[in-house]
Amino acid sequence: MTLNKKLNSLSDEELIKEFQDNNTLEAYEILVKRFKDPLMNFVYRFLGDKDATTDIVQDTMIKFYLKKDSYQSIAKFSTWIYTIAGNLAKNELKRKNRRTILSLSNDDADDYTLQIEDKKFVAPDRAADNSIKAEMVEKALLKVKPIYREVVILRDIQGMSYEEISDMTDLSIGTVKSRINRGRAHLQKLLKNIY
Amino acid sequence: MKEEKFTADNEFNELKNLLKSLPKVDAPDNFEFNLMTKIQNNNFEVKSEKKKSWLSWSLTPAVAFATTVFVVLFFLFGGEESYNNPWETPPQLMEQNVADAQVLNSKTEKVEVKKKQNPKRLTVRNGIQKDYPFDKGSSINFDEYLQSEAGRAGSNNAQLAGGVSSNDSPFDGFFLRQRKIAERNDSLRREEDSLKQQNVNNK
Repeated sequence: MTLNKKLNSLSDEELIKEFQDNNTLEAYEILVKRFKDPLMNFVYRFLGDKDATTDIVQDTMIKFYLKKDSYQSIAKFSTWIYTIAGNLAKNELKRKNRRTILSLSNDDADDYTLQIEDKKFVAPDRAADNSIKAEMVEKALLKVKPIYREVVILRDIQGMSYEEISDMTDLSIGTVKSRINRGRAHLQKLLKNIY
Repeated sequence: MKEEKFTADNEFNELKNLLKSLPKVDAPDNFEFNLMTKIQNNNFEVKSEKKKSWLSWSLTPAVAFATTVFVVLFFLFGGEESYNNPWETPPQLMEQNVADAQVLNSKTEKVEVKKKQNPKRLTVRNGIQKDYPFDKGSSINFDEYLQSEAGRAGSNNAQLAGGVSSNDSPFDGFFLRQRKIAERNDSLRREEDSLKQQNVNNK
């Protein structure tokens, strides 16, 4: 049994332990392979910008490499790495918003608003099309407040449990549930006409 | 009741399905290669955490808001001074003089009160004792002072003119130089004397 095969059979927590104890780069690479796509999906849904998402997931993996010892085995590895990615994504969003406020030509933001508001003029037969629906959902999701958007993505797109979300966001389960509900309600309001 | 709760819980079912059906976004093909290259080259610069430029603090919304408030307040209240009519405001110098004079008056009054309260008996020459209402150490002989002043004025051949009698004003008057007039008077007198002498001799 080769080392890689052996490592592949290990859980996330066992792999990070291996990486922490023996500095095994293969263990790190396996974890990167396992988490790069879910993290890309999460950050992309939160930011709506593919280039920025790639940068943030790369940065998350670099932070994971550099600060591997700050992970403690009491928590799930997925919770830890999602927390890093979430924090970096939130910082990026703040920076992006600041840039949008300061920029004199605020064309992008206007486009978003117009596209979302114009959706009622899309013909019903086109609205039925999955790709257009997905685009509408994506844009509507970006209109939801970041604090609600984050938990909705983690729950409804990433399929995480309330406990995991609570650990990641450092919020009580009650707050998580309430935020998810508010986020969903806002999203539903935005997407009313495509049901 | 249970049915109602069930309906509320499933209120967002369709939305959840829509969210789940969103296409998955995958990492680019060269993601791992780029990452491992960075790690091997020890290139750990975190792009999303780049150092802020020295100007970035000034671009924050809070600073922009504070600046706006300052500018608005400046235009509302700060500009009033420039609209003051200079003819309506009393000259600052006069106000200062009056204030200084008042301060001086109040000081002298205080000193006088002090002096009256503490009269001192001092022994002057030949065993004669006199009451001085002031401390000799911190005072001067008025006669000597006047003589010396007169002497100084006399030596300069000058006298005060155009002075204000009011105690409020520190202006005593202009000094007039009289040396030339006196010299001219002397020369005229000498000429007159010489002419008189000539007349006597001629006679």
